[in-house]
Amino acid sequence: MTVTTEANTPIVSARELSKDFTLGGSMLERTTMRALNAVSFDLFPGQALAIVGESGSGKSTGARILSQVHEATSGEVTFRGQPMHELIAQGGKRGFASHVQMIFQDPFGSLNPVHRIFYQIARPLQLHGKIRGKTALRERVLELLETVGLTPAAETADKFPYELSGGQRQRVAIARALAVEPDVILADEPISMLDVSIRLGILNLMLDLKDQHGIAFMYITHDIATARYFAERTAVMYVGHMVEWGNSDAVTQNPQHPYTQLLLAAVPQPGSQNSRDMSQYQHKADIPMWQPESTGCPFAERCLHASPQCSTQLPKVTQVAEDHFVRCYLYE
Amino acid sequence: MTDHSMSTDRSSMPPKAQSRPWRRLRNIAAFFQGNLSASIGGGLMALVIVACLIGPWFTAHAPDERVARPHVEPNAEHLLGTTRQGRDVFSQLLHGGRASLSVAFIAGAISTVISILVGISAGYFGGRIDQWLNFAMNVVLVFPQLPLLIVLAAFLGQVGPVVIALLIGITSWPWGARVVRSQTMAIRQKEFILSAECMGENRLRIVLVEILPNLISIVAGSFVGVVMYALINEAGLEFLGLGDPTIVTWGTMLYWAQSSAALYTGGWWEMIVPAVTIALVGGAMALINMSIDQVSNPKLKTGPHIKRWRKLNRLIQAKRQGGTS
Repeated sequence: MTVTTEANTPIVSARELSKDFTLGGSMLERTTMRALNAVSFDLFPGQALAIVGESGSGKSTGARILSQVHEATSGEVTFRGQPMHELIAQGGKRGFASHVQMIFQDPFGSLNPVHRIFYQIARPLQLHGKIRGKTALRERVLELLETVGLTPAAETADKFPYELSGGQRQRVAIARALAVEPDVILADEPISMLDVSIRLGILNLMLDLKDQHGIAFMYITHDIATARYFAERTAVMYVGHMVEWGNSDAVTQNPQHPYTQLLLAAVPQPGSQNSRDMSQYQHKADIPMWQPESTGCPFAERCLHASPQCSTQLPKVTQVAEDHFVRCYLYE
Repeated sequence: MTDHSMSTDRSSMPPKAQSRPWRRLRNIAAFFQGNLSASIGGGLMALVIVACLIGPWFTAHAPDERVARPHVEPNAEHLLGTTRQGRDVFSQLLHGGRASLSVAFIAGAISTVISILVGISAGYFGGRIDQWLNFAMNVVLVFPQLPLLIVLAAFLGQVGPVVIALLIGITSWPWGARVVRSQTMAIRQKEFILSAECMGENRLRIVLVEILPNLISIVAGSFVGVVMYALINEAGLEFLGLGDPTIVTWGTMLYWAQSSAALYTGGWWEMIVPAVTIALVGGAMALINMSIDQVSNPKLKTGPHIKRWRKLNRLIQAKRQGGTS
């Protein structure tokens, strides 16, 4: 019983998160962009939430709020039921960082080129006081390198990042995140910069970590196929809004929101030669820049089913199946 | 599993401990190998520094005493002749080199430290701090340097080498600081800085351990540049009579040669020796600076690659001609 309740309580929950960025140099022509608008989600231990969306849809902004890079304009994040800002006030930024770690998109930019692999992994261990003594430190570093499949570990530890391939570097980045023994890992497009042949290896490594270490993953991607492969739950984002979310199979096999349908239709099909006509899924229109004063559904201009109310008020959340939610007037 | 990893760990540790200094040496060797300008500049600098460090112990004459008749031509006793006052030019050159090079290196060190501190702080922290530091940089930049030095030196009266080093050091940092600032701003955008911040790394360590090592080649380049500049400016100030003429340096040697009209009275060696030495050392340092630039910016690197390409091209041409004839 305790196990099930453990798995059913979210480790991180975000409620109504919004994030505004100010653009423009001078005081007069300053505009505010809302990168994230009233986004709520939960992360469960040993489960992954995939966030799917195109560039600029606010996927990374959410992760960067959790990793303390940005501060939310409004809304609240709780970690194990305790508000994030309280935890940071108590244990400092480093204290919160020991629970939540991030893996970045670019494995060539995320490792400092002047430090050996040993240092890259040993530093978080020292910083978070996970280990005492030199030999213990070295053993732990080698153990972590073996966990992420970088063998022979002793040899890898003495290398510089430029001596490793992209996939190997991403494994080092994962080992570095693991060193802190986090409860949550935010993976910001961890495989999009890697060679296709290496992607599955990294995904399977993350699957192992998820299943065996019970780490909660937030998997940010624009690749719906890997989202379904890796994550139990999927959320689709468009211009800072979560438009549809729920069980990965439900969202990807039975998409409800017109944007999700468009997104799935855009996935290239092997074998089909002609580029398909997308006009049966959308009107051609620009992707809007969301501002605090914007109203309605962000997809209204492109939507085939748009009605007048779509551009005046944001639709409420509708539950269409047991674990499947959508923000659209079609289902209200 | 763990047993195995421990045993491989122990066996791999001793060779690693040995290999580190070797790797360093090899890196240094690789910097000079096939790089003609680095080899010439480095060799010349090493020669001058060693000569000035240990030479004065072996010179037969004191640099500031009358040891022979005025303007004796170079001979076996006085290798580079004597000055109008009958002082040995060779021993003056070696003794003066100590003072001149110390001034240059001290000024270089002061200026480099200031430029790193200001440049990294401005680039990393940004915002208000950047605005103020940038303002300070611009203020120091717009002062014309040599006139400012002349005014300061004249105001302070005949200044010794230490004061000259300080003056040059605290007026020549903005160039280096500018470069360091812009590079820091570029590095700051890299994800490894973000990841260190996410890790909860403290800011001082991010600056010193994550950013600074990435700037080493730029810092080294600007250090050599300031050293070269300081050497020449120090000589310039002293040549104009703004330094303390009783202390033997390359600059005061020039000053005495000028004031005793060495060239007109046929004692050319008194003037030529310090002048050529300063030019040579300045040139050597410019060569080193160029090769550091090549290392930090591979686009400038040509040397061996172009040579190899030309060789290959010649071979192909020869074959082609051999085939047609």
